[in-house]
Amino acid sequence: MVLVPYVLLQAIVIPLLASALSVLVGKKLGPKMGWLTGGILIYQTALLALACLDVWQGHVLIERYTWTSSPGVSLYLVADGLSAPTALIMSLICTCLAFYSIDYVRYRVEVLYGRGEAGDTGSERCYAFYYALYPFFSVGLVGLALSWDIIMIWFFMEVPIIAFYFLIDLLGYEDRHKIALLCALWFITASTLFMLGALMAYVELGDPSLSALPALVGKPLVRWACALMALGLLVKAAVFGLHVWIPWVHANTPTSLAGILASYANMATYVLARTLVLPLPDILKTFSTPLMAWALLTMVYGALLTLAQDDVKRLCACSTISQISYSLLGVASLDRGAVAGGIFYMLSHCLGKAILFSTAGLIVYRTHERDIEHMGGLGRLMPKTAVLWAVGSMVLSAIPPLSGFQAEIALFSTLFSSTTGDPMKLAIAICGVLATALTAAYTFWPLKRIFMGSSRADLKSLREASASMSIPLIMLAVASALIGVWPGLISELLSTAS
Amino acid sequence: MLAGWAMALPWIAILTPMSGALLSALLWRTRAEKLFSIVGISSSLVSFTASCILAYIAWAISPVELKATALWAPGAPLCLLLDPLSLFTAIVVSFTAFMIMLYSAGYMRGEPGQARYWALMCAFLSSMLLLVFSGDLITMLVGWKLVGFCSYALISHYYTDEPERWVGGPPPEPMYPPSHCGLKALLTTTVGDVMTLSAIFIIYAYSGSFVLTTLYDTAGSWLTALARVPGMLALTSILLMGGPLSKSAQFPFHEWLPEAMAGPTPVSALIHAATMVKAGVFVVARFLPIFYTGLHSLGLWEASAFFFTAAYLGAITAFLAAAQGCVASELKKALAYSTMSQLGYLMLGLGASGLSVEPASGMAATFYHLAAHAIFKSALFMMAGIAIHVAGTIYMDKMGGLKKILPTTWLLTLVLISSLMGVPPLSGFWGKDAIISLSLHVGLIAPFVLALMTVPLTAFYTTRMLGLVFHGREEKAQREERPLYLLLAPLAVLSIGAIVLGLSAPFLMGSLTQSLQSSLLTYKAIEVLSPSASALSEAGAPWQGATNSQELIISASSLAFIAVAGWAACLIYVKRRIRPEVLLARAPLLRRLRSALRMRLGLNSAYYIMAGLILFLRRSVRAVERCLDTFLNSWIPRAVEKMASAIRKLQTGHLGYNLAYLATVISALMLLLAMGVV
Repeated sequence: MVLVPYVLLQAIVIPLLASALSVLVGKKLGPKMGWLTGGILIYQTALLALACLDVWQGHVLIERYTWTSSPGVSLYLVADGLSAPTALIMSLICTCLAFYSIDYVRYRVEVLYGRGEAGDTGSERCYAFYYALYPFFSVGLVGLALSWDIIMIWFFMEVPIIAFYFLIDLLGYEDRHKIALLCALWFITASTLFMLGALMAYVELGDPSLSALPALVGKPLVRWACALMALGLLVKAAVFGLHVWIPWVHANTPTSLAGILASYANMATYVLARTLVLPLPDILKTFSTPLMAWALLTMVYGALLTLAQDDVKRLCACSTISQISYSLLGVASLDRGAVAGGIFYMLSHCLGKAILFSTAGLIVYRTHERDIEHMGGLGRLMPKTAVLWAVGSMVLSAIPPLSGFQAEIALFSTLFSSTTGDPMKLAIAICGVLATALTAAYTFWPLKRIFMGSSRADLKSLREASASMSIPLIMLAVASALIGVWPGLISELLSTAS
Repeated sequence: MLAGWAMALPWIAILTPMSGALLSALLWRTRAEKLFSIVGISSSLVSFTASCILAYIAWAISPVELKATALWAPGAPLCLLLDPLSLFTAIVVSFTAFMIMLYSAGYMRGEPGQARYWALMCAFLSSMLLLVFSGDLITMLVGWKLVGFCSYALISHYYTDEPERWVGGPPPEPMYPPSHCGLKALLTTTVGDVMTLSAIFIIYAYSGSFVLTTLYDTAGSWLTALARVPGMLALTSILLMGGPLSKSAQFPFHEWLPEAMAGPTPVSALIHAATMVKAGVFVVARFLPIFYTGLHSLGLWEASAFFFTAAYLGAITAFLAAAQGCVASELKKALAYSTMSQLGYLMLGLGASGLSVEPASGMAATFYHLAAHAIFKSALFMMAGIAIHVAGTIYMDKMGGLKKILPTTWLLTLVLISSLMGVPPLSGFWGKDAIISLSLHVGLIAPFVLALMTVPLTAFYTTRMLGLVFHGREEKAQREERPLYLLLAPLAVLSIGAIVLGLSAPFLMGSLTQSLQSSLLTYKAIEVLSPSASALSEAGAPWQGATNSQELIISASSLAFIAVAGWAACLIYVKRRIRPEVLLARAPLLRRLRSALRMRLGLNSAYYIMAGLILFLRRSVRAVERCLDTFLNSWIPRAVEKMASAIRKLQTGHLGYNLAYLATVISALMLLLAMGVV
């Protein structure tokens, strides 16, 4: 057992301390507030690592704190094989990107609001505002992973939306005010659909905990509840037809938050697995094959859409559409092993996407250019950045020793095993594997276009981004490599849950 | 059982170059050129030594399976398999790589990106050895994918794409920058990889295991289950061949290899001789016992798809590539075509072996030829590196007369090309002849004819190469600034190797056959199920029955073809008695054929047409996206806005209207109450 008391509660609440500190001293500290926030988030990550260690030893950590007795909503937190690694990876991404934010936010503030003089309260207020809201992501994503209560899941789904809205509005790209509104509207619509379904389930069961959900079978509203929850989650997972928010929102989010946004979208598949697939597989049986086909369509469409991009940030954004669908494919198969594989893939993708997107941010940060057509030859000028892009591409393209390879094996081996009796599902699974060839195309082709060839004359004096921006990404790459070399770290945990 | 220290040997062979790679990568800032080369050479030497000691210890007791407790995937322990196939291939790979590393020390002096180069070369060797020693499919895939990635990165070594680094041409033939060539290699092989990956998942779904020995032992049960779904076994066989065909540059996935020479010459040597292209052949051999069991022991005819695919596509590639080699203008491109052609023989050898009741002798011949090819091809690439630098051009027709400047290189090349064209008793003769004989023996008539027709083409392009580079009028040569002894020493060792290997062919192939036979018989499915198990253990190698008139005729025809085609090429390109331009002017058909072959029979263009189709699809996707985006992000918000505007009109602010609304609502409520609805 872990020696730290209330470890899960602390993991949820501690980041709020960073918010409070930012409100109090953020203006005074300015960009340095990032170090403080990062430090606090390191503590959160350490707590979750301890929790993972405990789960690894075969325990399940459960903490329950009653919030309201009527209706009976409680902060019901569970760290098991599925939630503990998910929460840890989410926390790790938020922590690393907090450090990445330090220089990045300074740059965006300067670009948008001008170089503030010492004591310029306008720009210092931006830093305070940013770091006051940033911990909300950590709270939301870790809360989503650990919650064992559908109402609380909805609550934690809402928490990051507030932060996304304000921070895109503050530091986003293009028409950022409109993009922030677009983001909020899509996310709130999705959350509302989920909430309606969750409330229906609650009305039927009188108990919002996930343990009670299997009793929903046979209740009159069960199909409606499931359909609404699933629809809400599919909007967040950006499946084909419901994905149109991603190219705008994801591409124009401040780059320090893009990895988090990808993780937030990915968490939809985790929640789908947690709230619907694992407790109610019989209800979803009819929808399994269509959902898998939908995931396959999204994979291919998303990949082609990514290939169609010339904007480096939009390219990364569109690849999220395709990648989330791999996790969805595993989850939609309803097989417990494939669900675990799908979650493994999701975690790997979150790491890879955080690296890739943040590297795109480094490029934009240094070149002030988003159009790939105007790039080329940056490898010689920014070799570290080129290596980071290659690492991100390798994660997504499932090239060992990074986590993407093992995640792909974990996903497809279990998926194929579960589809042997079903030719349609097997055909979808085969097409899914074949579609992965497109991933290599849309990650390595831009690598060539951005980093190889001759460079533009005006970029000859280009320098690498600062260590505070690249080291966090290296840490994420190390985490990905660690999982890639020792996949049991994740797969054994996930298999206990499945 | 292996002793404890001996069990560490395969890991030493694999991990030493990987450690070298990490060291070079970590020390990239130091720019210590010599240190990098020392790391590369010494780590490959350690790998070679470890492989040799391992083979000495484990050859007699193989197959030995080493399992680690670490889990790759659920139910998949990390496994190494030491059997004659892996031990033999490991020696070939590590020896060739060691020679190439030695050559690199001289060749790469002063070149850009030293740390990257040496790190990737070491990683390349390590990945290939991991693939070779792998005892489970996950480990094999790790090696497989890393080999692909390293080759991509090394082909793109000169990624800044200076015009002098471009390959292809001369105009009007297209020229390609190194970064393009690397990407082409990566994407083409990825297409094959995903096919193989899907087949591996199908196999796992039915067998429940990734471990090779388990797959061999239980092949009877899971293959039967797989064959219950009509077409499934054939589909799995064909999908499985995708990766090997693309890695080994076989038709129709072969078009990446001619451009793979954009990397430094030692990289080309390593790709063509020791790693990458050999990986495909090795993996086919690894799966051979499974499909052999399916075909011969279980009578599942769909399993033959695996062997027919290998045999037919191998033979087609052997012939087509040799024909293209006859007209290639670049020296390294001619060698690339030669590699494709020779690998076609290897694929044909494995296909024919699987169709034969007695597969061991065919496999032995194939792997003997693999070793022979590794030696003479790596040496020929080394020669190409020297010739290109001295001549200052990549085009053969702009070279000539180098014999006077490089007499030792010429002499060594003569030995090597004689081996390549299959002159007895050099190493290129034995394996190739055995493969051609075997293809006829198992009734593969069309592949046999294609393979036999490849023999004169091989003789022609090799003599042409020798003539164009070393003979004829002396072109303006540059001074070679690199230390020639460092470049020539490995070339000389390899040339001697080609002779020694040729002279020891009967002994080596016999020993390999015996070992492969006993190794195959240890697998339960083959041992228990095969009706011909006893025949298998007693069968002799095809060349042992050389008294057979059929095989004698094949060998004689093969030699006659070599003599005729070699003489013809000698007249044109060495003695220069006939001018090729005159010949082409007189024979329009020949001219058209030459131009079609130079245009790569349109196959290269087909790749770009497919890429163009994907680019066209991008436009369609953009159009679809625009429609969806307009509908969901513009029309719906606009509709909501219009509704809001319409409703806003009701909010006039006049007291009269407000009272009227209130009266209406109250009346409606009262009505509902009266009706008992509320």
